Amino acid sequence: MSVIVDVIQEEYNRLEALLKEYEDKIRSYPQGSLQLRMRGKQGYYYLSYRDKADNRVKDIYIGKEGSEKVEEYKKYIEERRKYVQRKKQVEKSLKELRKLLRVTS
Amino acid sequence: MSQVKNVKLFESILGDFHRQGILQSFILIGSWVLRVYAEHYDHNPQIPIVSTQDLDLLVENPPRIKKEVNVAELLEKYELEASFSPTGDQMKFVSPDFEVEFLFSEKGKGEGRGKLIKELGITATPLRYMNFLQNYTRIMKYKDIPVRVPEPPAFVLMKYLLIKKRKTVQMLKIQKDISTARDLELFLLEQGYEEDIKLCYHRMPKKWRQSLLSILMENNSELYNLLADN
Repeated sequence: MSVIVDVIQEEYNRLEALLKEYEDKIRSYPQGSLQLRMRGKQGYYYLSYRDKADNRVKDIYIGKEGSEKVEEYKKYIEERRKYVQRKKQVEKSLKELRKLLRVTS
Repeated sequence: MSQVKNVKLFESILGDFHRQGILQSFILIGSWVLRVYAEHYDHNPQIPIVSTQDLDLLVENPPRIKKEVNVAELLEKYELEASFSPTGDQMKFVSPDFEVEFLFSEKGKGEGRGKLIKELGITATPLRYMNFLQNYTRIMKYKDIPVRVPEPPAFVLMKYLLIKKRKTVQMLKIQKDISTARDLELFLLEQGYEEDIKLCYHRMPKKWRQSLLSILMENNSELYNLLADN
């Protein structure tokens, strides 16, 4: 095998492992987005997500605006979003490498 | 030749230099350092390991060579032959699939002339900015061989900084550098290297910091927010 094909293959393997790692991380964070609902002057946060079992959107109460739990969830959602972005980037790179491997093999 | 063979060659050269007692005289820079990082961090897939065919070894300025060793003879057994620039003051050891180059950190603008390292019988190619890297090194073990490498935060900042120094015709290399720097940066941020990155950044000359920030912004680097606020 030529050096270039080896290098591409090695990078492909690394990205596949990275993709799996990102998928695991994404799964470890709560799915969905935070929704703020106002009741009078007080805001309440809900986690809104689509339940895959019945394909319906569900809301889980998280806590009052500014509470520790809400802040924690905001951080989780942000982290998850970051990993989703990174996963997309890795998928794009894998697609390109797959094409290259097809051409070179 | 296959990349597997190149990796073996890389390991053999490190092993030979180590046995001869000269490996610590060099700092491994360039893409092969990523393999050392990968092994040090338990082969975390976030660390890119795409290596080029050039093995770059940096000689410190001033050089700290403790032993006389004929490097050309050592490399000859791997069919790496000395090749000189037309002016004769720069050299590389080349084979069809692999190259070894010795670099020297040039202070200021310099004259671009190679630096003869008599003890090793080599001429090192001068390169600017490398002085910064030589101030941030550590030893990492690679296949049980202690190798001097740049601290990862310094390496990633330098990778970004050198993007602008590449000529635009080297577009492929620029893209590879950006991609390597981005992958490594994400890894370092996840490992909690924020403070080390900031420290390296603040020890850079003001002009470098300005240039670096603009490169980070252009490339949507997550380091931009970390460093611009400080």
